[in-house]
Amino acid sequence: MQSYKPVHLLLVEDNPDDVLITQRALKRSRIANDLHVTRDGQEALDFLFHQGGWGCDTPRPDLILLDVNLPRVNGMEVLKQIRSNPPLSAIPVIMLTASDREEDVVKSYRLGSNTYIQKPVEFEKFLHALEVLGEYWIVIAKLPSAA
Amino acid sequence: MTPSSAMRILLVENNPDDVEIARHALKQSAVGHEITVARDGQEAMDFLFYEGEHAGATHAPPNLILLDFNLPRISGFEVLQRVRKAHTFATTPVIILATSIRDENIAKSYRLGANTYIQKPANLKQAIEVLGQYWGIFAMLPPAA
Repeated sequence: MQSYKPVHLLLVEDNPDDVLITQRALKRSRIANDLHVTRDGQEALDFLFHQGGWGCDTPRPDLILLDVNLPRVNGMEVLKQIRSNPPLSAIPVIMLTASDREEDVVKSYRLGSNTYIQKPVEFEKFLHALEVLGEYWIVIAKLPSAA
Repeated sequence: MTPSSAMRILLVENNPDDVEIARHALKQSAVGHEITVARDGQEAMDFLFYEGEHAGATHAPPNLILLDFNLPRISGFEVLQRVRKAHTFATTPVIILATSIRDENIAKSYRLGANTYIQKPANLKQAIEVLGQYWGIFAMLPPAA
């Protein structure tokens, strides 16, 4: 049995309820992880690029869960910036959003997101989706290490 | 493209045991899907681009590709690169199944546009079941280009 080192997850989400559900699901999945939350796209960029109050000891996330519709800077723009900056460009980014618009799905994959997931509306289903997501990305997948 | 619509999986795998495990696990995870198997990189390219024995064929393109890395004839890296350059498959999720856990292979795969890098675990069946649930139930796949 392999032991898992803590995985730094960055959740970019402006809905406080969804933040709580995500925290709960990840705790339930008993996977060692360190969840960091930013509430809008600009704060996410600040976190990633160590600016706006985020110091150089801010960890590089191993995995990013990114909402699409965000205040200030939207999720697509955040994704674009991640993919065009080599130290960050290999980090898996999962779009987690209420939208099921086909153009959002296509655009996300085109910009290099690793999966597009529509948040289930029902609470239990949302929890289950996050549990499977945690198992898939943290237990089964190999994440790229810092470049 | 809804999560419930059928997945058309192309499995590129030259180990017959792993093919059987994957087929069985995908059936277990109760996800509607059809699966095509290519046994090396060249067969995969022929299927994807309607060449060789698939010249003139009319099958729908896959919307999920499971790609082993160590393949005869054309390597998984090469297949990944060619798939990403083709307009039809620019957004198609590609999951690498590899035995290597060298950091450089992992990072390179993600940079080339792989959607997930999975090291084939001892329990391949369980990993494929989770994969089937993740992509078949929760993820939204892009529509065919």
